[in-house]
Amino acid sequence: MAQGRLTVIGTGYNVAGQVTPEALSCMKQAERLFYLMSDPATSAWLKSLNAAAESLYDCYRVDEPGTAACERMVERILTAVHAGLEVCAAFYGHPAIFVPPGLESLRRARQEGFSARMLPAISFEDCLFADLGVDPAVHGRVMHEATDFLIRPRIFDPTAGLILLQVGAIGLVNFRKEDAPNREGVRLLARTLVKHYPESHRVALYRMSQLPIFEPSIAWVAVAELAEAPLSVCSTLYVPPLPRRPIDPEMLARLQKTVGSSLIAPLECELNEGTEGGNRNVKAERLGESPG
Amino acid sequence: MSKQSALANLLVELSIDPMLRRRFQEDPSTVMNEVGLSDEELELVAGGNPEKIRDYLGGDVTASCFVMFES
Repeated sequence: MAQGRLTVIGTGYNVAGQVTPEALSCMKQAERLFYLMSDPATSAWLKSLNAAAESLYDCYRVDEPGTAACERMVERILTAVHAGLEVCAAFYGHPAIFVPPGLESLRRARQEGFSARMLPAISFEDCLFADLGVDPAVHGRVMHEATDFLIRPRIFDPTAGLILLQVGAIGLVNFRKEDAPNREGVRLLARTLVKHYPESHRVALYRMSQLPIFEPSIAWVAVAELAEAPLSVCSTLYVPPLPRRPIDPEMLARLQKTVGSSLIAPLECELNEGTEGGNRNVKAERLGESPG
Repeated sequence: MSKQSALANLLVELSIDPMLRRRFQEDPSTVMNEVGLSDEELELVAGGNPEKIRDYLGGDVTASCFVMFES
């Protein structure tokens, strides 16, 4: 019997437009294609690509923890690998980001000695950066799942951007079909955030477009008004950074000795201006800030 | 091809063809008529409600996300 192999891929969002050519080939050539998508147009497209396409959606049971569904998905994927098949498991978004069955099936397949790999894909965060015009390299960014952020008090840096996943689903552990957000949970989140940010700090509730005929949903609100804002269980929260911290002159001097003065000169200007964070990149950063 | 798959196929084409998407944005009726969408589908797309389009297309996905929080 042939040795089974596993490739885990992501399809990004927006039906077929964000699928890489390599991922497309994997899906077409697989002897068994498992998939978990967030819209029926993509599901229909995958079935047209590969007659052996099979949805993993029936692994979910209403009111059951998502971890149970994850286990069923992994079992089903690995059963096909054990049978000696060339298996592709396709998930929407990026297969390593918040897709436990993708990473777990990869880990177990490798542990059992099978050839298994994961291909990179476009994540929700890539869409967010593009749609909001945010450069995460300028201020840095921190990302947490919203429930996890609340129940494990985080020591985080508010001068970096903060991305919180599933803000509408705070506290919701079990799978459910309803799209109603937990607004009381969002209220708790808002109370936590105002300990770190001014109440008037503008934040964005974001949901990428999953069908090409619609624009992404972006709602800017003051952090104190978060609970009243339009959101769904799938909304992502982007909190723009507070002004950058001032430069540490001692560290700057030590660094200067390692590279010579010319490379550090622009930073010295910022230090001499005495501005908190400086303004050199303000124009570029504005794109990712609230228009309000 | 069923009318239902005609809409799904249009969504696939719009997702991979920027020129078609631009034409659709400028003149959606012409593009939708070219691919043979039904009156019901024309109304659905014009209504601009993603959840209704998902319901119409059917399949095994819902508008909700797949909460996978691990404690």
